[in-house]
Amino acid sequence: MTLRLAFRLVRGGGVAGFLRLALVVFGIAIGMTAGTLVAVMPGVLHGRAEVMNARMPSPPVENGHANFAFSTSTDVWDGQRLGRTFLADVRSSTVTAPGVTRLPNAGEVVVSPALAARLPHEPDLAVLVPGRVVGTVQPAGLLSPDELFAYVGVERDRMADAHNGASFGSRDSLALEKQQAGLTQSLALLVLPPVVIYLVVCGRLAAATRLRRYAALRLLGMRRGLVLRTAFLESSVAGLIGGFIGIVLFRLAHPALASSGLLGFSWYPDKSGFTPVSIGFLTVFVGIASGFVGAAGLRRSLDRPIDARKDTSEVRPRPWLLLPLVFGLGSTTYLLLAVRRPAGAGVHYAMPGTMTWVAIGSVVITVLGVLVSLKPILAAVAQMMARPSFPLPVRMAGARLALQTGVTLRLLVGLALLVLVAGVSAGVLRDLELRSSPSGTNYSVDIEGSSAPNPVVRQEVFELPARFRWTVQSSVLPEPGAVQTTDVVEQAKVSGYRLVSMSCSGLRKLFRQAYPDCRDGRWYRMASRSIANTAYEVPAGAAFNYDRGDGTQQSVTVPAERLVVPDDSPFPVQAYGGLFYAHEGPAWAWTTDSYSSFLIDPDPAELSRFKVRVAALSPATQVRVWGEDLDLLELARNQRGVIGFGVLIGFLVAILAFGIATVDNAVERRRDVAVLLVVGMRKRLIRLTQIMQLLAALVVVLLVAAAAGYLAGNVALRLNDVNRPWYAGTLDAMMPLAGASVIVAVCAGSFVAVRRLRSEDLKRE
Amino acid sequence: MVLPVVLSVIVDRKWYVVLSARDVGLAYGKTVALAGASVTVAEGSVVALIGASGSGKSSLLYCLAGLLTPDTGEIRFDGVLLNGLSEDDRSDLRRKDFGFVFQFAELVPELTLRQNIALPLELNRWRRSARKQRVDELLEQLDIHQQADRRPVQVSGGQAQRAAVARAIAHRPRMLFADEPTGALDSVNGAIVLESLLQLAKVNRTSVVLVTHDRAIARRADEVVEMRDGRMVGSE
Ligand SMILES: Nc1ncnc2c1ncn2[C@@H]1O[C@H](COP(=O)(O)OP(=O)(O)O)[C@@H](O)[C@H]1O
Ligand SMILES: [Mg+2]
Repeated sequence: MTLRLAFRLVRGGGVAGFLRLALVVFGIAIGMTAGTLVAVMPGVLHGRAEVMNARMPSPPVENGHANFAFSTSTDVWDGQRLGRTFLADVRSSTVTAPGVTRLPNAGEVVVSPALAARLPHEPDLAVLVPGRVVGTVQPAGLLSPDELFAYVGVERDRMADAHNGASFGSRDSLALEKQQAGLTQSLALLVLPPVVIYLVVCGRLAAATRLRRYAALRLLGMRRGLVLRTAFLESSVAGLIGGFIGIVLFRLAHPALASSGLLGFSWYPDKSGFTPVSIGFLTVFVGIASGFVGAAGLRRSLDRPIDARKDTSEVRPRPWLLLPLVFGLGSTTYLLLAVRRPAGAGVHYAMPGTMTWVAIGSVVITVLGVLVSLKPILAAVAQMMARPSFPLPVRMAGARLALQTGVTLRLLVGLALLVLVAGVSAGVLRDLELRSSPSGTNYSVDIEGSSAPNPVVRQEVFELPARFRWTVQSSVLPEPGAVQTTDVVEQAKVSGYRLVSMSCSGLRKLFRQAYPDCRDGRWYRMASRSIANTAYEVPAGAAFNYDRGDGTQQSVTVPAERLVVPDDSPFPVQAYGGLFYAHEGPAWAWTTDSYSSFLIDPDPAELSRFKVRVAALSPATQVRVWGEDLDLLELARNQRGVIGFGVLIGFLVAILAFGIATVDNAVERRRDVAVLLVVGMRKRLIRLTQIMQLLAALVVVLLVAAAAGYLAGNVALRLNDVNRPWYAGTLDAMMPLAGASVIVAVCAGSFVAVRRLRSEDLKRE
Repeated sequence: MVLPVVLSVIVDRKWYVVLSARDVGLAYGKTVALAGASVTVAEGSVVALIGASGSGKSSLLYCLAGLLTPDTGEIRFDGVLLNGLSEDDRSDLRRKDFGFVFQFAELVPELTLRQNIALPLELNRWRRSARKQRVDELLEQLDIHQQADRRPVQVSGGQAQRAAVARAIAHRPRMLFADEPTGALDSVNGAIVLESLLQLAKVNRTSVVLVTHDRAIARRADEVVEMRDGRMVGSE
């Protein structure tokens, strides 16, 4: 009985009724797809973290015997993470890594499929992964299908700082999962609110018309309960169908999405751990939930029919709602303008701890402030537009907006939020990017002595082409003991007094200074400009011991002759000064506690070339690039992908909701439009009025959101370095959204519901 | 003796036909609403259209006012054929020369009574001072000046309908169309509305087409036309 009635009601709604139902079903489907995506995300990320742990070599337990020697390395190749595990002396054929049938011997490699596909065409990459490919890593041992990962078999004596390994698999490191935990929240935060707004909008479509129909049914003697049950059925059927379509959509899109890298990372869709049972539960839940939502909405209107005319009451001005926004904008602006620190180039001042909390608090208050202040701001704008001195369409738009502030805002708040989020996240992403990539006029690269197998290789590596090179050695540290001292010399001893070796010509070129006193083969003390001749500088005459590399130590007395280097010099001598030996190469011999530093052109290709050259000499040697943070780089890419994807989907849904609701509103206003036509208002003027109303609201909302997003994004950017310049990228991120919204507003606003006057438009039902 | 009379008639244009309909036919799908209706309206006169419900009164009114385009027949205003006009031209005609009152006030909900009354004046680009003077005058005459700054939902039905009358007459149109203007009101309010409508029309020398099914109201007209099944029964 109820079911038949529900269907008859849907049919009775005519084309509009079906359209409304289709839009609701579509909205639920999109919501279901997005929700499912968000729901599988933790599983996906957990799966990736588990693989990461499972393939980590673990050392033998106490007194256990080693099955192999290993060292691990991660690099950036072509903007992608390249993971290599070097193995030597594999003694057991039973121990294997996940996804690998047999570990490689020296001269062999086992690689991921993506790497296997690239190796034949990329000789440079092949240098980093040297050896005959004897197998591929199966999905069980990989994070994603496109991952570059390899097990490289080498001779034991080609591997420096090797550890003993017994098996694979560790439990302790869930770093990846923790690091990526924010991704799910970001996605959920971006995608789900617009979907909810969309559903609310669809639920309210043709609200007045439907209410009238239900009211008519009640007048016909239908009981309230039956009306509600009918509405429940109607909505829950829509929910079930929408939920089902959503699941199907997700199943179709998931594989493509998983491998596309659109979210900044890819994964194996079948590892996401989503079962048919959970899918079934989800669908039924969505169906029942939509039923309740539908019925609840109707119950409210049936109980309080006055609500249907809500748009006829004006918003009382509540100016105190502006306070949070004013406060938030004020404090972010203060932070941006006032918190600056003079600092030399290359030195970062992160915001101090308390300041950071103030900054985060300001951003949160700004965002909340935007949300609560939009209504009074819109009301004020509407009142302003209704001033008698403005032309008629502006005034009518203002009057209309004043009556519909709430309704209009509900449509726009999703867009405002997205613009705001786009702005803030642009700042956060920029910060991650700046922190994860090398910057400046040179790339600075270090090669630790401990990571090269022998002095011969170290010398070969040292002679690789670079713009500048030098070596750094630390003085021998005293026996550990609680030496609490304020004496500069003692402090220098405890932390290691640095000895830098470089030729005079290199030094002159590096700092573009004459250094007339520099003679190759002589010793100097060195100080940065700001500590030279201060109490912080280690005085001449102090003596430090250095490892000669042959088992003996050499005592060096700090000479009086001084070379002054700039404060932003790449030498590690800022704290107490250091020794300078004008000589190319190490002072005595290559020792494990010394390292070589190189400056190379700030060109990623040049950097890759350098890495390849090092790998050609010694594949297992680690190349440390200053400012290159693999984890951060990865996180930045993931976040960029997730936020970009989320904003895109969220925006499409929000703009769709906005367009649909605008047109629906126009349809519901048919009669008002007809009256205007009757008194001789031309359609052009009506159209202008409608566009004006939408645009005024949209522009105000977007301006407030963009201003807040710009400031908040810049604050986010400065959390880690207060001296960063203003970043306009936040605006760049928001502009396309704003532009698209304006276009949609103009299109939707120019829809005049009455094409030609009909007798129905002139009569009352 | 004759000449002054003729002259006065010409000057007064009492018999000048301002609006005429001939053999107007209109169908909504299969329902025939008008089947050859004809009527003429002399300048400054009040014509009442009466007839049972469903006899086609409203339909004829809409056609006369250029709101609907009849399927057959012709309607002339001031000698100009309405059927031949473009949408925009008819819109301009309604704006300048026509005024409308419906059964329910049909005011623009977001505007106050004052703004509603001023609407046709604004569309006709009256100066602001002239506009204000005219609106104040009407508010006074119709005794709704106290409600002037309320919106339609905030006043009674009778007050809203009086504002609708003011809006219809404000720009001094040459024709006023009224479709059962008192139909939704109690007798007291109905009388007030009808009285002011006719009074204002007379002052402004506006011709009126008044649809009603109430013979008592029809008696106030200069001419009564009865309709049945979409055509005229006879003229009195
Ligand atoms: N929009 C419409 N669609 C179909 N039939 C209509 C429509 N409007 C009016 N009619 C029909 O046209 C006839 C004349 O209607 P109407 O002009 O409203 O009569 P009246 O105003 O005299 O009551 C009636 O039979 C009515 O049912
Ligand atoms: Mg009628």
